[in-house]
Amino acid sequence: MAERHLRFVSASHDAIENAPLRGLLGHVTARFGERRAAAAGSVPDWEALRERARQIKAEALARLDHYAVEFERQVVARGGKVHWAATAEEARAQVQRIAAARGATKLVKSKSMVSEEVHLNDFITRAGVTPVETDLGEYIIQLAGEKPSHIIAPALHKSRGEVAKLFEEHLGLPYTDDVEQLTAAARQRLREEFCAAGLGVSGANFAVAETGTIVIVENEGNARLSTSVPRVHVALVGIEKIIPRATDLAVFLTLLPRNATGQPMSSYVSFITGPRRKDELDGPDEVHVVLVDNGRTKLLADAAAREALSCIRCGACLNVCPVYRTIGGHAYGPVYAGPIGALVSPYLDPQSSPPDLPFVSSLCGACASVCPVKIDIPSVLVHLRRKTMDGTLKVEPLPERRRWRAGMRLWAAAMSSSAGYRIAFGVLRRGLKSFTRDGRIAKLPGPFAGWTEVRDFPVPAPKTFRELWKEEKRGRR
Amino acid sequence: MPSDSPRDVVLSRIRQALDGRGRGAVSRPAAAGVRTGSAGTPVPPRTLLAQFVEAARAADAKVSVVATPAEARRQIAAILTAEGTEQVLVSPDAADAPWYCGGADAPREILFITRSAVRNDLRDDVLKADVGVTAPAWALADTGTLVMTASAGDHRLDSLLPPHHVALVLASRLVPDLFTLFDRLAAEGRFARHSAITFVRGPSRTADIELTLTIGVHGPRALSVVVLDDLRG
Repeated sequence: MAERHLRFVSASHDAIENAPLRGLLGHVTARFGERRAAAAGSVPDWEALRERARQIKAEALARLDHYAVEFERQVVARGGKVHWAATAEEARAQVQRIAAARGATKLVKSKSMVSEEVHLNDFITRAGVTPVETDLGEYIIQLAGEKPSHIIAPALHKSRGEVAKLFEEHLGLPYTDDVEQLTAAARQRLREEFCAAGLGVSGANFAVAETGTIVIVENEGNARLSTSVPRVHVALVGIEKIIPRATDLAVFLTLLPRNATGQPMSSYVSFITGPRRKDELDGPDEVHVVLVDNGRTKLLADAAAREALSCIRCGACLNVCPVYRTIGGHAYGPVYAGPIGALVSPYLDPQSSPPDLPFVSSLCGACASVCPVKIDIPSVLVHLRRKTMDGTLKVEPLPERRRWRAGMRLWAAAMSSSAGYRIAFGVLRRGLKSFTRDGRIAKLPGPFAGWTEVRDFPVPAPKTFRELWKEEKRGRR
Repeated sequence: MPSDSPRDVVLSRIRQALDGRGRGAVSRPAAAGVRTGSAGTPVPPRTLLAQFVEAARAADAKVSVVATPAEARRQIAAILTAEGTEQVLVSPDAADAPWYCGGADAPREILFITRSAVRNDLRDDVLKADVGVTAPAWALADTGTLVMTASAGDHRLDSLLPPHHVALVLASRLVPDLFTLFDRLAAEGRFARHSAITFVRGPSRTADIELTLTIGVHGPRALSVVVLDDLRG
């Protein structure tokens, strides 16, 4: 009955043994990490900005009902429409209804994690509308029939050779692994799609309550095209994207590009407020904003986990996470991978979440140290572990593991007293010594075999700290 | 009266979630907040100009600074002829400027188009244009970012569809940083006025294949910025 748990375990093992994947992961995450560190280091009051960003998000969440209604009022005042979706089904259906009302049979999409989360593409295809991803990375994975493996670099796991094969097969492009040629081919093909589409679908990085503005940060220009060329623009926006004021954007736009890609500013940022005005030539005649809940209010209701909704999806926590860097995005299962994914997926994408997510972390805290809105990811993970164990967070029952639990109880008992600790470690040290071969412990028996299957156990030091301490004191005397 | 419309469902869930411990637990941050860089002490316009040129170049834009409108016209003509340009889209704001590049002394072999139809359906001449010339409303000095405001004088697609974007910037329109800019945009009610405000920093780019930087995906492959130094002194 632990289907997703077993899938997660086997997918992680596969990823660990996939040498090319680990090469790509190591390369990409390391460079993202270096660039982020350099960009953050060049802003003198970086720490103050992070704290300010955290405060703004906390304020927005604490009064979310007020700001959501204000946002709606402003969008409507500028001639846009606001739709609400309590569930993924409702969000998909809203997009489909808008497409049907305009007779649109094709839609162009700029990158949107919410659209991935509500599985828009499959649904809208079945409804007779062809979705075309226009972000180069998203386009690649759409051709491959996959899902994104990184929040901001969705095709991170694809090598140029794999992309070349995809383009050869789907675009009829003679095989080339020249990245410039591949990009040019996508540009040409997608230009036609932009002109043919009746609908442009986007996400949003921020939604400003004060002005009814949708903010989209990008580098390619596909979001500008998706929101300017088709006659109808639909933005899928999670309710947690709402921020109070336009001036708050100065804080977030200082943090986001630097933390995501190391750029001082991304190539393009679009601030979209309603449809084109009467005197403007370009832009859609209709702008629809779909405000999506889909589990967010459940997260909001948990005061100890709520801060996870502050996430601005920069992806920095993925790049520094030793787990993500080892297994990549797909092994996790849900749309949102990495440390932040472990926090939000059980709420936003529970059907794809293995019960292991809160446990897939060494709690090293690297994620929290780079988070631009200072989410205390390790603490929330521990909170979710507790909820998983007491059954208040349930995506799929954890496997029984009776022996494990019994062992843990024994361990807890031994660790609770000085004498228990001393005796337990005495036994353990003697036991471990008998498994030492050539100065390594490469193989342990019974329930410990799993641990040494993929790594060595450290050989105990010749003397314990307590023994050394005693000797030290004796020597001083 | 309560109903079960998605709007009511979502709003009542939010209110339920915030009831008790949640609501009001977070103090409202001070209005002033932090600022970066220049805030507080005004930066001399000359310094802003130098900052902008450096930052825009760092973003792969080609930047030239000229002293007079006549020099600007010559500079733009030089940019256009060097590229073998055939057709240029000029935004109305750029066409109205004293440095209009399609005027009497413009290169003869180049066709200059300014769109003015009610709504353009991407006619061939728009799609075929080699260059789009625009006059951004402002530019951010610290990051070398252009700030475009969609209007009758600044069409969104003129700076987006052609493979080469040439922007005409007045040095007096440089803004030190995001904080100053957003204060101004908010104070002037700009979000209500324009359906789109757009930041442009350098050419279109992607790194989606093996993190290999590639210039010119969906937007322009090249960005040239001509700054007219209209500062006194």
